[in-house]
Amino acid sequence: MNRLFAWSLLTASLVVATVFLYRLLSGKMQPRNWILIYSLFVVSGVSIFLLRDGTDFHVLPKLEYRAARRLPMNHLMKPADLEKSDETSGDLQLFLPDPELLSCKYLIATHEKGKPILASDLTSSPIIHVPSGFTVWTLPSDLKEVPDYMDAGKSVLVFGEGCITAATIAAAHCGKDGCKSMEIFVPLTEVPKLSAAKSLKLQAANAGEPCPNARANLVTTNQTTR
Amino acid sequence: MNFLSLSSVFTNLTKSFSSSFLLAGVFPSISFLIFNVAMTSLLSRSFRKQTVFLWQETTVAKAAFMAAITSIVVLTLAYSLTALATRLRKVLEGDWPPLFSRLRERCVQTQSANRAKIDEQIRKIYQYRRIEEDTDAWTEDLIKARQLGVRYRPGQVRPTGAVDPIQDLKAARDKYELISNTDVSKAVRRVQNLLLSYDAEADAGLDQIQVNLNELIDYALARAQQEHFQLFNFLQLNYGSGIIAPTQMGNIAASIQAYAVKRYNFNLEIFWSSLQRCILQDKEFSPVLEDAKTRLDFLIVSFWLTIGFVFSWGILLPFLGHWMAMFVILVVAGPALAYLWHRAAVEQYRAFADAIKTGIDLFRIDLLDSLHVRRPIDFLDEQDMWRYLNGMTEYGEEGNFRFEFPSKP
Repeated sequence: MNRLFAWSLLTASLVVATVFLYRLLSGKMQPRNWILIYSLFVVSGVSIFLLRDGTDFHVLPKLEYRAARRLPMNHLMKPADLEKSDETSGDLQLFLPDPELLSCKYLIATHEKGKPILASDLTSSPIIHVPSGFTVWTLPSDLKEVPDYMDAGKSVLVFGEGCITAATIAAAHCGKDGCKSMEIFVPLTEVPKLSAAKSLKLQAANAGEPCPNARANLVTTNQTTR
Repeated sequence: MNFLSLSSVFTNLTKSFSSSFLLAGVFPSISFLIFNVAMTSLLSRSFRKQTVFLWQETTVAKAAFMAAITSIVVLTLAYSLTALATRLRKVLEGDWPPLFSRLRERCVQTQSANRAKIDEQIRKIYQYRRIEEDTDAWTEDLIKARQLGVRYRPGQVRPTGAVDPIQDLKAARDKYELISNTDVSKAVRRVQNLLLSYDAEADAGLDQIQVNLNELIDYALARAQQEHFQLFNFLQLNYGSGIIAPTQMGNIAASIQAYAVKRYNFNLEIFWSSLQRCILQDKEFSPVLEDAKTRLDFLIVSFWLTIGFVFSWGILLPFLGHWMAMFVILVVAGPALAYLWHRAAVEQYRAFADAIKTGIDLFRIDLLDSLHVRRPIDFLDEQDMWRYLNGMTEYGEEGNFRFEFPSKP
């Protein structure tokens, strides 16, 4: 429909402009009407834009960041997660906000690679929806920054004396000087074991020794984001 | 390539070339190139990378090479522009190819209508200037009426709160409007009746009204004269006599020839080169003319470069541009800028035309001297001489002149 409109606009403006131009050159039109002919050629140019880019045409340069890779919901942003859009070239980059200003904020929804990240996509604290049968368990952290395998939605194993349970990262709470705590979704049934443990450690689910009995309780990222 | 090498390019350019070439050729060319490089950089990432690389990764050899390339490009463009400057000016004067003959006719009609409007305004102003013919009679009538009033209505004064009979004239003067002969005449009759009916010697208000009316008549007279001169000067500065060109600039150009012919029967088109030689010998006046010409060339070249820039990028952007806003800004701001260049060029053309007219006034006798023709005895003799010379040179008419050579020391 849009392409049809663009084609119609292009054809009509070009035909009318050509006819008017002919009339102007043959003295059948007032010279001051050149502005009408010029406007018609401008409309032709605009319709070429519409035709070329469809509904995705850019009126203004897209001064925005895009996701450098797939970023899950509640992902804690860091400058490396951002890339500049193709159109944001040269000096226009000056108009982009400082990437540091966007870090230490959480994504409110999963962003696929290349999807623009706007200020409205970020929040200062994570949005946590606890799945049924689970609870949120907070663990202290001394990490400088969150490694990829500890990102929100990733599966981990919780270790005390031994492997206690499988869990899912809900969010990491970090400041500029490092991460202070991690929140994980754990099954309600495992809470007594976790309470009894003197210290807890996390390990990526596909690395190290798994807890075979707890496999069935793993929470997938999809469940946390929907 | 850095600012240092660019500045050395400019320094060498300013040393090597005349200021008129720099102003009318080099500066517009540099601006044009910079804008084109900026546009290409915005559109092409690889071009941008190359440009940044050349700018940042400087070695002496690379800087020298880039300076040389930049100079060659700038100078080639500048030479082409200055060579084309006359042709570009002629296009703005309305010298168009046959394809545009119908359009030309239409434009001539428009210009002719504009001229007719000024002619009409001048005709109207003559009505206003008729005040000059009646002023003396009005003053006399007022004096007589006052004398009769004083004689036959001694001591009689107007009732308080009477309407001011010259109120409308005062209002017109306050707005700096023209006052017509009829309006003044009506006011004179009103005041005349009052002067007949009351004693102006006893009525200070009536006395003041008469004084004010006389001032208003003087104002109406001066205002009409001023308006007439203004319109006449505008006509003389902006239009030739007889021929109407299709553009404003063409008509200003025609006004130069019209001035020369009307005053001296001097055919500027034939004698311009010789006159120019005489003008150039004068160290005070020739820079004035040259400056006016340089400024005019600069504005004309800038106008055409802006048009070229908008035209070329206006075609390319819909196919290559990333953002529609860039295209819209170009097609709106570009012609607006070109319009401003054109307006400025028209104004400058008037100044240039004025300089040439002054040149004709000052140096036409020098031209006769350089042609070894005797000097004229009086104004009419001069007109005859130029007509005679024009006939001989332009139409090959038969004639004779006695040469006059300066006596050898």
